[in-house]
Amino acid sequence: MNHTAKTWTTTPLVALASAGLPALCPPSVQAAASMSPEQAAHAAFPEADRFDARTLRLNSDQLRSLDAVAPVRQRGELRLIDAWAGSRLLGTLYIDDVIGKVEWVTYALALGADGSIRSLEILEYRETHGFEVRTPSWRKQFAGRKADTPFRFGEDIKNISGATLSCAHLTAGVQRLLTLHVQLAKPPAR
Amino acid sequence: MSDQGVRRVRPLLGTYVQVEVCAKDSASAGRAIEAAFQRIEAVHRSLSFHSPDSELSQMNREAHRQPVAVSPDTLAVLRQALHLSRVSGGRFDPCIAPHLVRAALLPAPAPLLETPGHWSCIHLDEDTRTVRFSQPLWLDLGGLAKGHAVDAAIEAIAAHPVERALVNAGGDLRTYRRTPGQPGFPISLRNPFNAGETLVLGLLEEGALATSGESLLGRMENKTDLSPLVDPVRGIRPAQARSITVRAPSCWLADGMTKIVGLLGQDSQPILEQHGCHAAIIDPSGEFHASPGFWQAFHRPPYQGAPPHA
Repeated sequence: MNHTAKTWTTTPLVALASAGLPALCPPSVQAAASMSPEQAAHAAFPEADRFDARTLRLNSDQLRSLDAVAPVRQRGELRLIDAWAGSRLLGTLYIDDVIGKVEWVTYALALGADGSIRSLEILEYRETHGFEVRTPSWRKQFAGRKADTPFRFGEDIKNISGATLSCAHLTAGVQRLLTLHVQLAKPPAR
Repeated sequence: MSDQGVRRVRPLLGTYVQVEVCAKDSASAGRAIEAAFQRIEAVHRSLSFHSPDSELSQMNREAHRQPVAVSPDTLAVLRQALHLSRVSGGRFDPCIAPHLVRAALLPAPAPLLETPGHWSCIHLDEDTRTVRFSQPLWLDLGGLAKGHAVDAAIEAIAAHPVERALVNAGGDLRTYRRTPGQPGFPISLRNPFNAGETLVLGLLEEGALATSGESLLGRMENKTDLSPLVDPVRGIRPAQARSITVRAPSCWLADGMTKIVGLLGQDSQPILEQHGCHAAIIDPSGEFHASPGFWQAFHRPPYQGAPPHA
């Protein structure tokens, strides 16, 4: 290949995808630690001396009332971590998921005892399904080419440059949690 | 002793911003990450089109009546925008927001402008750090602001004792390493035909990369059928399964060049060369067009198949 070529080169995407690149991008290069729920709790409430974790399953009434605030797909099961300093409740960390463009985004919202936001961290952000070409639109390009095995991309590739993914779903998720927080603070309606 | 890698992701600049730092210990990495997010938050506050309190919104309200004083970040991004407008003969124009507002891709800050303006109506006074418009304008510096925020974050990280780092603001990304020989970060491109799939480009050791896609913006009401890549003359048009990627020394340049390459195609080559940039276009027929030198920026062998054709 002429490296000093002054013209643009054209390559079918399928040929690039089959170039056997996983070896170039060993998973170890990517082994950076993400934040755990416990780390998020400690970071949001550094003065806490005790954390109580529990799970909350939202019932259909709760989900409906939250949909009225901001409609977004939510798993419906949350983890709550209450932060205490002695007998004083400092606040609550909510671990929730919202659907991103293609995958679930797990985030931690820390609310102080007064209901104000202390911090918002993304714990897990899975951008892609997996690393095989699966869609008909891509497969169509096989026509007349020799490849007949699925293409394997890298195992753990996180640094994706592409169309900007909106965080509108996350904003909706946070609005829902703020509403839920107020609902939970009230005695159950009779 | 091995390096400690720490990664944090926060919602900023309308997208998910990922900061990843490798340092000798996780406390140093954590401090560098906090410094990076502080810079990104500052740029976000100054340049948000959505927030009525931002300097950008203040300019859009007042700069046609009187000079508006702005922060160094805003001044820097405006300088960058005007540079790109000049070198592209106006194909890059930060005044296209009315097109996006009309297509409901941006919220309307006020009743629509009667006469859309253009870049030459923006006047910077470097001495007084003020901005003045010669007619009412709606600036939208979204892409450049993201690129500038990434550059500012990398600069903040480099002031800390870290080995290498990556900042990725929704596809505008830049890597840093203290010394040559450190491994790069593996970089993938999103498949414009399917957001769930990616294409490995290779390892990026030091430099910036930005991609403008036309669809898959993840809007809640599925308004993904219009391209955010706006021609200042011809206006908005339907989105195609197409993406433009630019490799540049800095991230603002990479982001801005994606717009120029998107509108000029391979005719942008002289502008790319003049700025030390390389580009790639994935077109709707599934072909990957790379400018001279694009692949050399990554640690990966160039494609050895069919002879290259322009």
